[in-house]
Amino acid sequence: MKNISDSIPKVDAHEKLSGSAKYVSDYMLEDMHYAKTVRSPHAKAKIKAIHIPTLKPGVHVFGAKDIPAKNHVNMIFDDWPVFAEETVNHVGEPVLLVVAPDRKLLKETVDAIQVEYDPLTPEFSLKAFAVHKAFKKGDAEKAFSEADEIIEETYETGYQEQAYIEPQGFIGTYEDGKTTLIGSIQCPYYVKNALLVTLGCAENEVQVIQAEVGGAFGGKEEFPSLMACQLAIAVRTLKKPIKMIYEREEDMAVTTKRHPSKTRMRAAIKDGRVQAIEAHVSLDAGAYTGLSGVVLSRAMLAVSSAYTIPNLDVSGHAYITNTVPNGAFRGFGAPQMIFAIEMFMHHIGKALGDDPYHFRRKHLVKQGDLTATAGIYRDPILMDKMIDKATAMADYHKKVHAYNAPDVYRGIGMSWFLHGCGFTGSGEAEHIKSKVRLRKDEANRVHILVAAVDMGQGAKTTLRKVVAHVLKLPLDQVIFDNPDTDRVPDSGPTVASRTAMIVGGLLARAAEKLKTSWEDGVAYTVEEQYKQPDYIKWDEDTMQGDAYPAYSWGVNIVEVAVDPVTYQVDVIGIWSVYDVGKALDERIIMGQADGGQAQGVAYGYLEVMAHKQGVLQHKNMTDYIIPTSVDMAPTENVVIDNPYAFGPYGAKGAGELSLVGGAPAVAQAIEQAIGKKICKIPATPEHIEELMRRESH
Amino acid sequence: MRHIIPETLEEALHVIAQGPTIKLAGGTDIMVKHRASQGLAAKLRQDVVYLLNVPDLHYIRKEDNGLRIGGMVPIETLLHHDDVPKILRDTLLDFASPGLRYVATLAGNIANASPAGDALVTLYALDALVRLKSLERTRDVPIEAVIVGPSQTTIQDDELIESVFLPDASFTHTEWRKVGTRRADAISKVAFTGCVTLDNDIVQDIRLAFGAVFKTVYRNRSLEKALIGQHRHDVVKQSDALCEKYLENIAPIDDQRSNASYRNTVTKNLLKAFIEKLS
Amino acid sequence: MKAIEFTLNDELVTVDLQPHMRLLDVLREHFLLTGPKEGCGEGECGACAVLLDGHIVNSCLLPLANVHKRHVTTIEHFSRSKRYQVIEEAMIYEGGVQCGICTPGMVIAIESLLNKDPNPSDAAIRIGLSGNLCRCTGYNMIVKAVKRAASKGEGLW
Ligand SMILES: Cc1cc2nc3c(=O)[nH]c(=O)nc-3n(C[C@H](O)[C@H](O)[C@H](O)COP(=O)(O)OP(=O)(O)OC[C@H]3O[C@@H](n4cnc5c(N)ncnc54)[C@H](O)[C@@H]3O)c2cc1C
Ligand code: FES
Ligand code: FES
Repeated sequence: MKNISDSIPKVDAHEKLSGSAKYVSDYMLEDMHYAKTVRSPHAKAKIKAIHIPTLKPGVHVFGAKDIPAKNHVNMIFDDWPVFAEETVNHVGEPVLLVVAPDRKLLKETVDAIQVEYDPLTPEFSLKAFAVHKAFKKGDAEKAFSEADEIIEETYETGYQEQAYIEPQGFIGTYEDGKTTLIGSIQCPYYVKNALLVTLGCAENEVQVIQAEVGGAFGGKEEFPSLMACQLAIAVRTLKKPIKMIYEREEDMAVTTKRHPSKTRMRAAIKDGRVQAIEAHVSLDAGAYTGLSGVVLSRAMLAVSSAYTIPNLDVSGHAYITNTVPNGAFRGFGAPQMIFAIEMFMHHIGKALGDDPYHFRRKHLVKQGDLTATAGIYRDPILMDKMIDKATAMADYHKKVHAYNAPDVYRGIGMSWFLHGCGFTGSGEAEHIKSKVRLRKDEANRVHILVAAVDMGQGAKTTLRKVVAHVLKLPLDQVIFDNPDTDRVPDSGPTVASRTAMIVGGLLARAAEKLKTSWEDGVAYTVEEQYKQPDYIKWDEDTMQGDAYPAYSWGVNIVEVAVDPVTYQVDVIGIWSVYDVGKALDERIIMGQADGGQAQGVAYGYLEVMAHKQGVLQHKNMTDYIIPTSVDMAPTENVVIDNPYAFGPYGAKGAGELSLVGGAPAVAQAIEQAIGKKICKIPATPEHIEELMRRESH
Repeated sequence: MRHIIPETLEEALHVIAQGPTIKLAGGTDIMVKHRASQGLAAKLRQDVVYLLNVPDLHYIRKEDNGLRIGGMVPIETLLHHDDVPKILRDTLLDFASPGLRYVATLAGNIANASPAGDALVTLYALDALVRLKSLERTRDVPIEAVIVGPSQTTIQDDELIESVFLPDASFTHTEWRKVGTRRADAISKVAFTGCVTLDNDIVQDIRLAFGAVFKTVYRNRSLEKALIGQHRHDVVKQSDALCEKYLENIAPIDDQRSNASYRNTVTKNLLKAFIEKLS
Repeated sequence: MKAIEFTLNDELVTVDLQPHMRLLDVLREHFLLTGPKEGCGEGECGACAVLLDGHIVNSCLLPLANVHKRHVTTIEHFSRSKRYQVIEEAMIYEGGVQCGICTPGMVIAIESLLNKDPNPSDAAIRIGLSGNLCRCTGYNMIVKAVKRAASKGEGLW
């Protein structure tokens, strides 16, 4: 291993290929019981009475009254109940948990329980907000008053479901006063902390272990805490192993999704340039706030994406509606905003009669520019080179010209974007305070002790590589087992593209420490804790300063053909260039690129989810359409080196970057192919039909 | 509740003669429709006869004037069989996924009677005859007389689909278009089969069948008949009027997969595109 | 009802279970063969794929009765074969594995495809994998892995 980027076989590939990797549903324990949730059929109602039939031996029912301490799921905003108490606020809200020794009895009991409700009038429109945020840069008001022209547009995005192939699940066990939860999770300590709050118990009474995770994409960031709290109450009471695995329908109906959004944008134009943008983003948070405030922040912070706009006036609301709560999903608010800004810049360019490509390019960020929140882009930005590379790979300029001809029904679209690495603002320094340990044993093996979860993104491989590389040890001397809160310190959640950069960075430092103190045959442990680089300043209240320690950058080009008879979109090719600092493993980064793009592009044209009166209409994998191998186009991806001083070997975040630019690229391509402006995604055949019909009249 | 795995057709017919049963072929519709929770057997409330592996129903045979396909031949087999008309193979290539095609059957697709059943669209266009067999009788029924509405058929309790007969036909041009929710492993939002035979530019035979836009597959023989004997250019001239007539008759719905407006427009576009190929 | 007998991973087995149980549950819970996974329970995702007489099927849709007297092979057994070795090497080489939940099913799909078409075109590969949803990879690296397996496994299929 000379160069850290050189690919090595993924350390867990064999187990996964041969079917021996153990996911939570694969655990089969002695005397295992099963749990299922009784849920609200109403979008909003008062619970009048609960009628529980005489329970058969071994069957138990738990609800709000059984919660030992706090009836909320501990996360950033604590309004989400573990069990509904007096009212229910969305269809599918948990009211009770039933536990039975077998699934037949379980089903019979769930069916026999009767909850009486007084239905109330639900709210589905964006009226009551739970979070409001705003920030400014420069003097937007002045720029608008001096503008030659003002251009305005509204952009809308729909739900997106994570659609990990493994539904959510936990198995809980009890031994010697300790409740252990093994689950499909991204954030072992989120789960543990939620348990401590809801159970009100001592640290050593709960333990959380990560099973193999069959895909997460943000969907297993906060939601598992809810399941875990419910299950833990039952496990502690019954002192028996209990398994709770959602089936697909339940998972789709009740777990968090990407927030639908509406973004209104106004631009002040002077001398052919955008002098100011006023943007307002509205997110539908669903019934409870949960992480919506943070999602809103990230959306707002992405407002100018890869462009430098001197004056900004940005605000946003997260609204409460009687629908299933929305939450984390790869990109975390950024995909909504990047769709809006990329389309808007493109549309402004067109409206001004300029070539949108040139128009956008003259607004591109350069090193030293001020960010949206008046922080500084300190590190080198290679976007010029990246755009040139991507356009050459895709033969963009030739195609964009050719496809302007009418009746070819082809289009090519391009997006430029950045993604802030790590937690927003002061999150890393103030909330997470990431801690990592390396334990060296007597056989000179080094054990990585972190709470980072490998959910397919390859953390097990890359983090082992980093440590092995620093210590110049063979890879099999470095051990990384799935996190278990009894063994590992809280290195933070596996979210926000922070694992390689932040956790990896701390591990590299810990490894350096270990290297200098190395004593053969002696067992000892070293620890490292996150320290914010001094120059990073952020004010949470005014949203001013450096929102992120570093940024990753990307360019996506998507080519489509639209069938003029059926309006179906055929993605023909995807070309991308990414700057993730330094790839800790080239092949793993290519996998992140391909997979993220697939989700991002599909978000733009394929994936539809909607609700009617709070009931999601897309209930399963037959209704909710994600791409198959036939839908996905061949891709060509390139990663360029641009090492970041504080990342391990120069690495920055890579997990979310590849998703955030897919939608505007495919939407622009479709826009060109059909010759109609697109302001709403997904741009489905139905939407295209509507656009064609509307304008042909 | 009894579960019977008959070894012969004879045995199967005896079982179904005794009263209502669930006739289970590949199970790809039944197991979804009657799915229970994980770990529990499907919610089947009647005696079940498992037909999939009955050897007597696994044949493809050329007969005078046509091809006879045993009811339990999996879709996958048809896909690779040279005697199966090309238009049907084209259709079946868009059917579900490889794993499903290996167990799903034509008989199941017919008896399931979904307006979005893909094979049905082409079976309607090919004037397929369904052989219904009971201990007492054998009837050969045109497919449109077997299917009367969503999940509704005229198959009697004591009957099963023994085979499907495809009368010989040769066309100058055929077309299958599946407009699914995505490019593979999808349910049709609209489907279309068109077959036409020209002789000296005169239409000798034309068949137009539409899926997922009516309570059954939609085919209008009188509109077709009116085109027979006409010069192809004259047919092309009428394409707009013809589209209007079809639109008056079909009745697409809004659902989670699509909406009526889209289904109407696409039906019209597909038909128009097909007709215009005659020019 | 007679007991159902079938060949499971090269061994004749007789089971006295309800014939309308899903094969998937029988494999996972009765035989503890947890390689096949449940992703959707309705034939859409392919995570539950096994081989029936050498051809891919979705075990979540198969009533146990339908495998009577037939041959079922799960990933646990297939992974002991030479062909598997070739597929594994190719999947690792091309980076076709991420979270792994779709992977056993994907391997089954690849085997079934190569069994029929030892030298598939890109289009044939995509069709061959179209019943196996993967949310992590975007498929391209798996498509390349199939190509590689086909060329490295010359003569095996
Ligand atoms: C994931 C998925 C994808 C699908 N994709 C498609 C698709 O693309 N296109 C499409 O058309 N369909 C599709 N289907 C539906 C289904 O696969 C087809 O309708 C298939 O043809 C059903 O055949 P089967 O043998 O599995 O039927 P079964 O489920 O066994 O039976 C279906 C019905 O037919 C009856 N039946 C079966 N055999 C007989 C007989 N011999 N005599 C009388 N009645 C009988 C049964 O009682 C039942 O009512 C899909 C299903 C799934 C789960
Ligand atoms: S679990 Fe069988 S296809 Fe998804
Ligand atoms: S690797 Fe995760 S779903 Fe395919």
